[in-house]
Amino acid sequence: MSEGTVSPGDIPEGDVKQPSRFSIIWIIPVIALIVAAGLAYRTLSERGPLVTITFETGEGLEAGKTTLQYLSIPVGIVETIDLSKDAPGVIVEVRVKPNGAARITEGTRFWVVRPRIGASGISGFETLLSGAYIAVDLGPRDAKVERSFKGLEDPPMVIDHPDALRLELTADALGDISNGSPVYYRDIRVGKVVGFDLDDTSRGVTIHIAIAHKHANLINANTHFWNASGFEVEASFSGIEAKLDSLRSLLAGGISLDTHGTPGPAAKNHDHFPLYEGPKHSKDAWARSRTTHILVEGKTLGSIREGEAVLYSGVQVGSVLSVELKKDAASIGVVLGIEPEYAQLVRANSRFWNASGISADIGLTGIHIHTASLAALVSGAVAFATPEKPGSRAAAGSIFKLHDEPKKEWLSWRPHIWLGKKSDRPKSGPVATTAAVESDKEEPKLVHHENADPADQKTSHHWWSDVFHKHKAKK
Amino acid sequence: MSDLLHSVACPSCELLCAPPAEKSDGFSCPRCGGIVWRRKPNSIQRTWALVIAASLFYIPANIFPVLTVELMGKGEPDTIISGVIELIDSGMWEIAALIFFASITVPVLKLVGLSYLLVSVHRRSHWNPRERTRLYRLAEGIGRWSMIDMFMVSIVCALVQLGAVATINPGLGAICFATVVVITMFAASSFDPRLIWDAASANELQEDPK
Repeated sequence: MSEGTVSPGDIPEGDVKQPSRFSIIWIIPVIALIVAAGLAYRTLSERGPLVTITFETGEGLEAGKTTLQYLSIPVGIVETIDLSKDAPGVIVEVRVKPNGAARITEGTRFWVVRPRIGASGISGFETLLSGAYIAVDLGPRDAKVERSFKGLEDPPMVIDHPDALRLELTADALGDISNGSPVYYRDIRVGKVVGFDLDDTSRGVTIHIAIAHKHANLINANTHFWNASGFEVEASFSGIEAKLDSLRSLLAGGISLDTHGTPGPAAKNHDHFPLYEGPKHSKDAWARSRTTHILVEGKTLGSIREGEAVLYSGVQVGSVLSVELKKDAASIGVVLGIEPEYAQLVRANSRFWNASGISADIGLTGIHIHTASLAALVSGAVAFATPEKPGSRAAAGSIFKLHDEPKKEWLSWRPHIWLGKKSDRPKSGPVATTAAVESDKEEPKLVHHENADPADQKTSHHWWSDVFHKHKAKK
Repeated sequence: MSDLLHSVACPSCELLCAPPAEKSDGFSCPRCGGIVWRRKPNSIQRTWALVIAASLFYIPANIFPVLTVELMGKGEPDTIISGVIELIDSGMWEIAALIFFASITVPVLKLVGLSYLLVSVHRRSHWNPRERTRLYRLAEGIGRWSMIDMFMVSIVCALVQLGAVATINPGLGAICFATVVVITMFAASSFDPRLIWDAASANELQEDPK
């Protein structure tokens, strides 16, 4: 209590304000210390590891500004950019946020996103304004942690569908396919091309495609892929047929897929498939893979060429798969593919002959001109006939002799052989059957059905097994 | 003589009154009842505490971004010094100098100046008390000008919120910097410049009789 009138000397002791020895003010620096330490902890805990990436060029990259993005979300920032000491290019050091750091593992890929204009559209358009950024496709979580990478110069596989099915197609050449080219299934877009590369031997290309997760069930072991860019002109006796998959794929390039026959086991990531040149090649390859392979050996080839018909009573029942010169160069071998539905026709006692060209009989009655068919007249063909009493069914890998011309009686052979399903066969009637064999699944038996000299048999045996394996590899 | 030397003017009513006892630092003014301190209480301790607190806050104020300017989705956070460098790069020397002065020079001057004054008082230095008093007035007087940065940041952030076209957002550094300015202003006002003269006059008294 103080009173205005008293002299200072009279003021009681209680009124004297004695400051405490330690001021409460020290709480402020303590708070400051806590705040500063908290901020430091927060900053340091948000600081992930430093990842080193080398690029061919630093175009568009800026230290402290360029971000590292995963699925368009920033997961890091470029700290320094420097020239590489030992190799051409630049070294970029990126500070990765802790949330992404665990997945900077082996297999992680980095590339710079810049505006790009390609056949499949414009990409990286947003970087025109925002500047380039480094995109990352994070690696698997359980792989080995890696901190030094070589950046890709071109954007690789899509990462916007992390669960997409990734397949590798092998082709002789890239054609019109480019990154981002669509993959169609019955004209519906189901995936896209996400990268391509020369294969290991540089003798072909490997094209990486990604199939959207919801369409992944379309892909199985029997799926065929073909290049849908461009169009195909097919000329035959039945006319000229031009086929165009779609105008869109003609411009942008594309890949179509389809499954021929029954679906096989589902495809897994990174499965390899051949890429056929067009739908016809794809169908041919499929058809070829189903045919029963038969070899005929002869002395002269005539005008038989690959792809030509195998005729039975003038009906095409197969085609010539390849024509090979035997190792001893003394004779030729023709590999025939017989359609599965006609495979029954080839019997152990069947006779094959060269049906190409014209043979003429000149006799007293005039000139008889024989030709198997009009098509065979111009091109070539292999014909065969089976006797009235068919022998046992010829398995894949059977070897027959190719006669230069048919004997007269062969042309009159008309055995009854049931081609349909066994169960559909009429009970009565002189129809020969044998157990239906899924011959294309079988190993070749390499049986000689016409007597030949044993030494000759032996050489052709080896040669034929080579040829057969070559064909299997093609398939 | 001694009474006059030790009497203190009440800060509220300007009454010149003598302290009740030699040892006591504060008492009630006999006229208005306001508290009269012979010297500001705990001046040195308080000032030290605030200077240390301000120094601690000054570190994050410089490390963390003060503001982020985003134009058309493009923009990076800027710290004080990176903002100054950017202004110099774009040729705006005057503004760069102003920001450098207000945000770097002034706080550093205050913190260093107050620390020097505190050390000199603590060591009872009698070197040039007049100059040191001038230093104190300078530190106290210019301190508030550091706030022009904060005014600029707060006004710009409030005005430029145009969504994707242009956005300016304050950063953590701005809060730390504002804290530094406020704390240094309190530090300057809690320092009692009469302490400079106490030490100087004590030395004079010691020297004079000789």
